[in-house]
Amino acid sequence: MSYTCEERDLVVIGAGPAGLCAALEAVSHKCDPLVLDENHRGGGQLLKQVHKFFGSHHHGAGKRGFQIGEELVEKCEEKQVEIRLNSLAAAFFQDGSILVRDPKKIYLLKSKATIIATGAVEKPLAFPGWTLPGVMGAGGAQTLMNVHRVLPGRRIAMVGSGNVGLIVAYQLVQAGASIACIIEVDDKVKGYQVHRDKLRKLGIKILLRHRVVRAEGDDCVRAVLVEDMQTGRVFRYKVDGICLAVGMSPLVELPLMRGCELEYNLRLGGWVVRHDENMRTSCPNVYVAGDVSGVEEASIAMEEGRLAGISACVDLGLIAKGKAQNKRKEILERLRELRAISGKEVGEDQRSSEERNLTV
Amino acid sequence: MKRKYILIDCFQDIPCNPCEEICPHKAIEVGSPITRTPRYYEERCDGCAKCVAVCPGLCIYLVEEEEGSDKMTITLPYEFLPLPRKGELASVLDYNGREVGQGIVKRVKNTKSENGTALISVEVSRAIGLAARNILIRKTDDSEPELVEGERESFTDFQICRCEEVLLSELRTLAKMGIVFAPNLRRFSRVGLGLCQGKACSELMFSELSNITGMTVGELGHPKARPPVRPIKLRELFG
Repeated sequence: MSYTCEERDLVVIGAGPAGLCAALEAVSHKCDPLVLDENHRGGGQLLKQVHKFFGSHHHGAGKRGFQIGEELVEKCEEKQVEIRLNSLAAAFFQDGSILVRDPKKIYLLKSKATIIATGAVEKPLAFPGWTLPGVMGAGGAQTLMNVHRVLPGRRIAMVGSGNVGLIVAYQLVQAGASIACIIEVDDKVKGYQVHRDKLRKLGIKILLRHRVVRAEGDDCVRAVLVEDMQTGRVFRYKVDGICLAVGMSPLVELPLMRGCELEYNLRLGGWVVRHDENMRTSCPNVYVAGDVSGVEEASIAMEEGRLAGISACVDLGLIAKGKAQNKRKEILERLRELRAISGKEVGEDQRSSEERNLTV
Repeated sequence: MKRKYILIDCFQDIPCNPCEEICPHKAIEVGSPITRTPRYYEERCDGCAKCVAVCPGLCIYLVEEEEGSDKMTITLPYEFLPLPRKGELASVLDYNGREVGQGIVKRVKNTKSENGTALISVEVSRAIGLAARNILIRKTDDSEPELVEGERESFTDFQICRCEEVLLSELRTLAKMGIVFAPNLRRFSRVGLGLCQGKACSELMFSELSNITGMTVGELGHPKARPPVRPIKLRELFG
């Protein structure tokens, strides 16, 4: 069996904030990137973010996430960046070729440089009843309501008080559901204060030092049992949905297949692709950007995408080293600012998710 | 004398400055680094409320008060539907979401420039004015949780891998037999070899192994990855 093989200078896998910014950076250096995404729209996770983003004007602060996503896609169209949607990068072989599947065919891509921006997947939390219909990842619930306009439940318990848990809980209320409780094993709220306050001003309570005991229901979730870890008392909340927001794991399968080294960093989501400051992996001409290099925020993913785009162009001989160095300096400075807080109190929702995976 | 000023509930050093950038009168200053909390200069502020609409944290409020009046008007950011109507009586909530009184909706502004965050101006009594942070969006379902006795003791088994229908007890039995090397445990139990390719269960298997062996997940070694990353029909591959 042989497949057609197409040759490209630069292939970007993933049309989320990191991938699109990488492609835009590359195209500004006269490179002609090809972007692959398995979804039917570009923009990645930005498309379901209906809340306004933090940051500075560099990162579109004050705009809503989906608006930032749409703008990135528009910019790519303007610059005639080729984005192939419904195109799954199914494999990344050690010889550097990528197996792509679209609805019509399967083919191979061979690229001189490859930027991997595959993002992350939600971490699970297992407890008796977690397989009942109605238990879902918070990101999944967000896709249901904000992309497909389907309310995932009428009364929902949110597990995890990181930014994802807080934001999705708020959006569930916006969509018409009510939040029975937000459950947090730690003794403090993990997300930003302003996200917490949006819920607080609605009278929604966050149960600190609490854990899920089990979900009840025969055909679907009817209730969740929650233990107060200080008193040992267990309470039953009647709900028809349980959303899990206990962190994300980077989607490292493609770089792993290619042979990129990983490193374990619990704060960044577990196994992440080892990379240098300029997003180069241990494999020559393979770069990472966004959550696959460590789970952080969209604005950080965008800056990392730009860095990866610059590095790929330097290695392809399209930019002079000196010019690249100046651009990098600016980006690294912005990244430093964005990360100034995430190492401290925010972003910690990853940290203890490991011990929370199993509650029994 | 009419006085207009804003209240800012922004107490955490987060990297954010749209309030500073949108203010036409430089009445809000974040400066550098961008993680500083905003400072407010009332003397420069004309009460345009642009910052109220732009704040991603929805934590800026405009206060309008008049000397001698026992009423004040609070303009708050509001992102729920349906929007309240002018003249409507609204329950006013404080910072903790507790109802502190009632107010009359005086203005509802929801134009393109607010970008989906409507500005609701509510007239309230001076006594509760500065505490007002929200209005009740709808009757909430506040049924109290029920205390459950006698929970916790018994072990309830459940599936750890849904695709291959593997129970947690099965995994633990294999681990007790000494199969604690992840690739072996996977082969014997089939955890992670199903349709989802281990995206959900691998993480669970590794944390269970970590509990059993006392090693951290990092020390257990990373999972392997083989193509394809999503199931592909053989017919497609060899069609």
